[in-house]
Amino acid sequence: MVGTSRLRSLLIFRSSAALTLQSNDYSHYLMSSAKRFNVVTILFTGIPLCAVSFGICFANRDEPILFGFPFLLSYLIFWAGMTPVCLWLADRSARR
Amino acid sequence: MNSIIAFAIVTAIILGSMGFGVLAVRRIKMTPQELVVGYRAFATILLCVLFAGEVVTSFTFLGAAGYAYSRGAPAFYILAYFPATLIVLFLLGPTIWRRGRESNFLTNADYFASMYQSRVLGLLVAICGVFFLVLYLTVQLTGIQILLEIAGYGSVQIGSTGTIAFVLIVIFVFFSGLRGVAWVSMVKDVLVLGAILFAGIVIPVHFFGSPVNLFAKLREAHPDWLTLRSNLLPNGTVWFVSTVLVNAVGLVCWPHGVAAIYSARDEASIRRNAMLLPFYLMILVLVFLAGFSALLLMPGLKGDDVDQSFMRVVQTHYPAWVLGGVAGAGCLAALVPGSALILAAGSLIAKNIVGIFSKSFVERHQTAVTRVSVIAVALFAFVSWATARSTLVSMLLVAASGAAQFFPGMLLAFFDRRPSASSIAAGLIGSLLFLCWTTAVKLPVIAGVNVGLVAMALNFAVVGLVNLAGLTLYSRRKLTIGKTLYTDGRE
Repeated sequence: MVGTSRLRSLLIFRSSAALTLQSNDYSHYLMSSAKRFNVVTILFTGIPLCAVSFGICFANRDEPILFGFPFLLSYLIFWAGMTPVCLWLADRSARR
Repeated sequence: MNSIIAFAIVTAIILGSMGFGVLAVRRIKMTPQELVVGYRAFATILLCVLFAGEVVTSFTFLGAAGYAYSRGAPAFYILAYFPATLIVLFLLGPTIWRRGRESNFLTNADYFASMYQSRVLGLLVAICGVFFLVLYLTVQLTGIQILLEIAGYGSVQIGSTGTIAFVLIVIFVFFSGLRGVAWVSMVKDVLVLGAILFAGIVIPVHFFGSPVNLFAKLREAHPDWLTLRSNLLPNGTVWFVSTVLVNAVGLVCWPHGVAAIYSARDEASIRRNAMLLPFYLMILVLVFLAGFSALLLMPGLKGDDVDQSFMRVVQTHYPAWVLGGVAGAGCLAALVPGSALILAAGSLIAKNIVGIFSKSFVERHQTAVTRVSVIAVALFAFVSWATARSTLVSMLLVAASGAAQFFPGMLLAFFDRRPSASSIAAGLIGSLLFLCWTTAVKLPVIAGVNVGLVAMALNFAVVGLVNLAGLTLYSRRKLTIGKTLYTDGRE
């Protein structure tokens, strides 16, 4: 179960106490490690990007009809759903 | 009677959610940092809601259904470019955020001014940005107008209701800033979700039994409606691919998108946001279903009326309170992005246009100057809405393709060896002149390719040529970090 404080930190931004912070507070910036692009990142972002743009040339058809939806639409729905998965994998590989 | 019920519900939704937004931020002291980028403190969920609020506008709400109604499959580009724009956000957003945090940027013009060490470039970007934002804002005001017209059952003075909506939006932005926009965006997302679920599921199930039957009926009536036409024609596959590519860079180019990136708490929030949003954006499929249902139930709408397609169905076949709920959600879908647009444009004027001429004055009265600029922008948009409604679609096309012309400058600043400021300015001006020309001669595609992409290619070419012609690529000294709120890193 997610603890209350964890939930709060997800939902709520830094509240009134933190507002006195000067704008030159770099703590968050320093904590986030500099991530580099690697082959896996480029692969996992490039595949869905190409799929929803150039892939259309191959997916532009009505058949096969999946669940009544035209193929072009179900193809795009599939990639809209795959994008988060691909981005998650790209993020994971970048953090290693 | 019907119009009174529908109107009361719309009013309750708008006032209630705006009151919620103002209450949510009542204890927060408004500085420009807070007003424009929410103190760079938004965590994943608030950020998601803000991005969703900026992306799903009334143009998506009405325009996507209208496009599906009038053209069919080309409308699917909206479903294709959202994942693409989030991938671009995932790749470039964290770096833009980091630069913004290092040097205290508030606007995308700051980014240009600081990265290319040129205030004049910043001024140019700011002026173009304000122009595009005003055009986009005009589109949102027209969205509100359409919704109120329908909620009024044809009995309402549109001029006056539009004006009231406009005054509300200004008051709201004046007091709440970006954080208030994000909170109202939460209410808006829930309501829009409800409205879209209704329009995309209840309407097809009610009239056709199921979405599957809807598609079967559609195949009988319009056999070519569910695929793109052949390659080189307008709205063919080439057009589709190029339009997706141009729109994909939208979030990191539009000034309000950049402000939303700056408002993140850390880089990970931006990445997580890009991972979560595609799930929400899949509801757009239902908008297409609503448009297709409208095509079968109420054929024959032409011209600007296609944007009203599924709202007309709701108006004819459902009671007034349903119409009021859907129209209220739609109005919020215009007001929330509208507020973000006004804020972004106001900050551009305050910081990059007025600030460049009288820095000390702006420093002393930061918040006041931002707020006055907000009113000025809103007035511009109102005048343009009141005078030039007819050419709206072409204006939006110019604005979207035009904002995409910021992309070469945004991207090339990522490298240590950067092109000169003058080459970026030349590329921007060249591509915008090209877009003006294509708009003047009404040329939306060249050999099937969206003109925005052609203009961007031209933009890159001009940048390269100007650099080759003497002003060579040279590396930049390290940026200095701003001390006060309105510095752009040059001190």
